[in-house]
Amino acid sequence: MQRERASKSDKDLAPSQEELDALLRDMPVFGLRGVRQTLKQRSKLFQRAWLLLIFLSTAYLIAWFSGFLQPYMAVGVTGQAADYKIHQVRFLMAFVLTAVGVIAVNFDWQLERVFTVIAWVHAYFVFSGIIRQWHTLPPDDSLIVIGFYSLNMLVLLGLMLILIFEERRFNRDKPS
Amino acid sequence: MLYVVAQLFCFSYAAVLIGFYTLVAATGQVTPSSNSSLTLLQDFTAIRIWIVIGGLAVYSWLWASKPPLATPLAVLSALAWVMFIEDYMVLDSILFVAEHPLGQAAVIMRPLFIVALTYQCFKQFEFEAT
Repeated sequence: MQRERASKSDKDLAPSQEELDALLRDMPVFGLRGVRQTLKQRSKLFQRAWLLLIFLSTAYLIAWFSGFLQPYMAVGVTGQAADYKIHQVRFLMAFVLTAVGVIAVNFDWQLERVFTVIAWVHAYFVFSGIIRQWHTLPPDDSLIVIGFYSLNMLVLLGLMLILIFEERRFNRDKPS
Repeated sequence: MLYVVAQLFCFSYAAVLIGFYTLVAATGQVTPSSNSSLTLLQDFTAIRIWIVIGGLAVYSWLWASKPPLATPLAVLSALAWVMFIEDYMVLDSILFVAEHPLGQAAVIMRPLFIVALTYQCFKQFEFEAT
């Protein structure tokens, strides 16, 4: 008798399907918000860093497809097919990572983690690229070209670090 | 249990890789099938071995001191995948034939290592979420 009463009491305490739906409606785990909505909640610095990152990525695409960058790449100096292929592969991977970053911002999902992973992969590209250029470029103009290359890549890395630290600050200050 | 096996496998792979690189650096036994891209292979190997050593050191330190591990594992998995894709798509035709048992072990273990590392990464996200 007591067991039946306890079981009935448990059923009374269990939330109904309507109540569960109402609760879950307000806490989407993975819902599309849009870039504008996500950026509106972030600091000015985050917004500017994001816009600059997108602008520089677009400028890079234009410069690459117009052939402006070709003489400054490792392949322009060595003429080796492997250098051209490695650039193509990295170009593809950078494009995928940019797409992942844009999707993460659109869904406002794990921004700090996503940009941390992207920044580390970018750092690998930067340092392996510098070592490669150091070995392949002629000593006369290697410093200028490496300096120009490093500056461009480190600016992008710096922007990503700003996004990571701003996101960390945003999560820390967010009321729970 | 599977997580521990994956972890042991990753440690073994890192040990094999470091051992093989030390052997190659000490004896200079690199026989590429194409000399034109040998420097590219050497440049990449020179930076990657430090990533392996650094990753191993950081992972061991974090694992022993118990802070959240999901993000470092995600970074290491992403780097392992990027290097694998680079090698497979670009350096595949110029990679030397690894005749030494350590070299053969490194080549055979690599896909399993990537799967084991990615598994650990997802499992760690699951642990930390709960």
